[in-house]
Parts: sequence; C-alpha cells; structure tokens
Amino acid sequence: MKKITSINRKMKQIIDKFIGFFVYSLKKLLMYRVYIISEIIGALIIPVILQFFLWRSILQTNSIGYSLAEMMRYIVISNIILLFTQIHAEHEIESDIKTYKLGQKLLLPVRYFTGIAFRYISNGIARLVIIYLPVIIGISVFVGGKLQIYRLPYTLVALVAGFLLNGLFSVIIGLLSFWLTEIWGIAAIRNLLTGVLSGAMFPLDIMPERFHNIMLMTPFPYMSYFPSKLISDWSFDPNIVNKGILISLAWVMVFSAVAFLLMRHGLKKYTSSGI
Amino acid sequence: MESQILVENVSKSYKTYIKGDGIINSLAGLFHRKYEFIHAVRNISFTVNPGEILGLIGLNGAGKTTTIKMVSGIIKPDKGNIKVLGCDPFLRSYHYRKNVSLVMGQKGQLDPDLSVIDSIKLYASIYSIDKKEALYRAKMMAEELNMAEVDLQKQVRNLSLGQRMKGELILSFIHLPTIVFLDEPTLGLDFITQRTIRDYLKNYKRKYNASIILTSHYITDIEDLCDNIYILNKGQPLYYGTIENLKCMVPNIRKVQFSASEHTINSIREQLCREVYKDDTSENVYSVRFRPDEMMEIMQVLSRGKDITNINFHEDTLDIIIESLYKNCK
Repeated sequence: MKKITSINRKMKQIIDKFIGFFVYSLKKLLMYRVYIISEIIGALIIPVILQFFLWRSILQTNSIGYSLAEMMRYIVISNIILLFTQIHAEHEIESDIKTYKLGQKLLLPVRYFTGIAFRYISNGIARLVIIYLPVIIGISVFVGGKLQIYRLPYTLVALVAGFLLNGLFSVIIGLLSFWLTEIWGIAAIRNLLTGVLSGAMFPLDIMPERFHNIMLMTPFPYMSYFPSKLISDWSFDPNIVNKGILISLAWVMVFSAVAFLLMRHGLKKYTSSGI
Repeated sequence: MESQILVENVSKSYKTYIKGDGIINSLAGLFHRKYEFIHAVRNISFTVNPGEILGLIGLNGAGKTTTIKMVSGIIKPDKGNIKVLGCDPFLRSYHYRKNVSLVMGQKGQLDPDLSVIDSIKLYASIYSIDKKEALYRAKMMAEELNMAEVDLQKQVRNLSLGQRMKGELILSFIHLPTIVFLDEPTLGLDFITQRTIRDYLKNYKRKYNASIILTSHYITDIEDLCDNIYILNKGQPLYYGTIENLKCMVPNIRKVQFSASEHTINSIREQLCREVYKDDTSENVYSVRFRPDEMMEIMQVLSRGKDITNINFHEDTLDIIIESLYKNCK
C-alpha cells in the first residue's frame, strides 16, 4: 500500500513537472505573434505552394501512381508531420555544453534529458495545438477524406516514434559538442538527410521498389513518410505498417542507447569552460 | 557542528589545445594537435559549516570558478575528496539537487522572453513546491531585495541589470537551498544594489542556516559577508582563515600620517625607535607604521610633539593586504 502511494506521489510529481514545462512552452510560443504567422507562412504555406506547381508540371507528363490531389494531400500532411517531429534540440544542447548552462541544468532536480524531453514534447504539442491542428482540420474539411478508425492507434504510435527518432537524432548531434567545437555542419547535413530521406519532399514509394525496401530499413522514413502514408493513403500495405512499427521502435532503442552513452562519456569530458 | 561542505586535498587539471601560429601550423593542427596540461587547482582543502559564508579570493585564472564547479558537482576532481551534505556532489543525488543552488553574476537562468514570475512557476513545478507558496516566497524575497512586485511580471529582457540579478536571486532561492554557490553575484551592479544583495544574503544565511561559497572581485563583498576566506594563487592555497587573523598576520597594518618639523621628527624617531617615512609628494608630511596594540604608545608620543598637525590614522585595507601576500609569494 505504502509502495503504491509512493509511486502515485512520484507519478504526480512527474505529471506536475510536465505540466509546468507545457505551460511554459505555451507562454513562450504565444509571446511573439510574428513567430506563429511566419512559421505557418515560411515553413508550410510557401513550400506547399512551390511543391504544388512542381508536382503539377511533373504529373502532366509522367505517371508515377499518384494523382495531383493525392500527391498534394501527402505533401501537406508530410510537411506538417516533419515540422512537428523535426526537433532542433542540437543547438540548445550545443549552447548548454559550451557554456555554463549545462552545469546549472545538471543541478536542477529534473534530469537533463528529462528536462530536454519535457521542453520539446510540450513545445511540439503546443505548436501542434496552436499552429498545425487548425491547418489539419481545415484540410480535412476541404478535402473531405475520412480516416479509418482502426488505423488511429498505429498512426499515434508512428507519430510518437517519428517524434522520438527525430528528437534523439538531434540530441545525438547536440551531444557531439562534448568533442567537437562546431556542430553546425553536421546539423545542416542532418536537416538535408531528414528533409529528403524522410519523404517530406516526395513519397518514397515513387522510387524503385528495391530502394524503397532498403529505405524502410533505415530510421529516416519513420520520421515523416511512414506516419504520413498512414494518414493519407488508405490502401497502405498492412504488412509494411506492422513491420514498420517494429523497425521504428528498434531504431528508437538504438538511438536512445547511443544518446545515453554519449551523455555518460561526454559528462566525464565536460569542463564547463567559458563560465 | 558538522560541516555541510568538506573539501580535502582536491586537484584538477585541464588539457588545452595549443594552436600553432600561421596557416601552415593551422593546417598541421588538423592532423597532429599539441596539447598542454594546465593545473587549475592543486591540493585545496576547506570546510564550510551551516550558517557560514566562505569567500574564495584570487586573481583572474586563480581557480575560484573551477573550485566552485568541483564542489557543486558540475565537474569531477582529478584527486581528492569532496563531500556536500554527506555525499559526493558529482553523483548529483535527488536530495542533493533539491538542496543546492548555483548563482552566477550575469549568467542567468531566467528566460529573457518571459517574466520572472513565469520562470518561478516553472521552477515551482521542477522543485515540487506549491505554486501559491512559491509566489508568496517570491513576493517576500522581492520585498527584501527592494524589487517592485510589478517588475516580477515584466519580460526579463526589459529589466535593468540590477533588477535582473535580483530576479535571478529570487529564482535561485525559491526552493530555500541550504547549500549555495555564488559566483560573482554583484558583478557590474551599482553600489546600492550591491549592498541590498549583501544584506539579503546575510539575512538568508542566518534564517536558513545555509552554507554559502562566494567568489567576488569586490573586496567589500568579501569583508561584509565572509566568515572565512580562502585565497588562491595560481590554483594553490595561499591563506585560509578569518579576515581578522589575516590582518593580525600582517606586521604594522596601521599607519599614522602627520605634519611636523624636522626637529620633532628626530625626537619621535628616538622615542619610538623605528623608522619615520617622509612623504614623497608633500612637504613636511611624515608617516609611521605600527601594530594595532601599539596605538596608545603612538598617541602618547605624538601628543608630546609641539608642532604636530594634520594627524590621520589609516589601516591597510583587505585588498592591500592580499596584494602584499601575492607580492611576498612571488
């Protein structure tokens, strides 16, 4: 009984901490109106308009198994998912490691990784609710598509896995700052890789089947392509779905182990110079 | 009384990359790098009891901040033993982290985009403090620090340096820590704000029996706050003890300056059996150095001099004493 009470108390403390971070992220997001508008225009509307003209001209002369409406539905959803899952924690981690900030954060009664996770998860949810959800609802009403209910749990797992994979990838790059003076080059390569190989620019199944199958073994498609297909393509192969969920969770475990090892070894090297 | 902070024979060295001069050496550095070991701190030992403030003093690069980083558990020492609240701070146990605070002058934890209150609410959830209680504490602390309540609600980037530092202190003390590390908390602040912060720290220490380690380049902070001081020179201990004991160690800490004729000076020299120094810049101005316990004798001798005028007594300030310690060390 005592043990259950203690577990309940700990759970309550964790939830309270998360709510604290969530409210903080919400306040930060709502502080600047220009940020919200520029994110919708710069990161979503303009790229989608450009993609519309690109795909219209491609599909006029080529047949790749997608109609323009299907392609645009996929492009909009995959872009929104990538915006939601593409976390840029690497710059914050780099700044923490190269300054006094990591030292200060290490002394808080919330683990460094937990703090980072809470901050970005709550930021992601806040951005999803305030910026993307209205856009998704608008598109759903406009397109008039219907989501198959049985796919909902798969979609949620795929979204969480995509979020974790992207987040852990960014954490791993950020943690390299323990050894490297600058990580912006690696961060730029990561953005390019996740932008192209995650399928945010085009659906990966338009590529040859062999390439598509190889790609599905890597972590990238699970950052955007996989959850986007689950939402937008109602004939998406169930075998790929089941296998994909397992592969993405395996990659989450691999990334977590790498991040954990980097943090453990990095902290031994950390001198907190620049204080 | 058991010490809350115990540091025994602690040493730390860093490896730094020595960059070659010119383009060829820079290119060579891509393949083969030269490193140098710098001994930041060597064999330092001290204790801090509950309700005590220890001042770390030293020139730039003396090892003060490295010491704070090691004692607070941010970095691991190469050698030696550190115990804070009975445990190794580098393990950073939950109990330890709930009871410790690190404040750095001009290197804050407040989010510039939000208000002090917003950060306090976040910290209340991090430290599992009731929100109402945290806000009440913040209000009380703001009152003590002469910070208007409305400033707590302003965006941090719109606050002055002094107000921001007060905000930092409120945030760092919101969980009422018993171990506090202060790295130059009054850096760049005006003298009234400095005094307010000093008074606040003194009251806090008394009220919560906190152990505080402080570094500051402002000697007034050290004299006003510290029960003990630890002087570091190039990472090595130079003095550890109270300010009073340090002053007692210095011979002839006091000085009397006066104007008198040549004849009177000769008489004083004979009576005191010591050197009387002539001032280089003014005519007929002389000075005599003496220990605090020789004060009466000096006054008696001077009162017998007929043409002595403009008598001024001085005592060497702590910065002069510390400077002389460094010079003797060289």
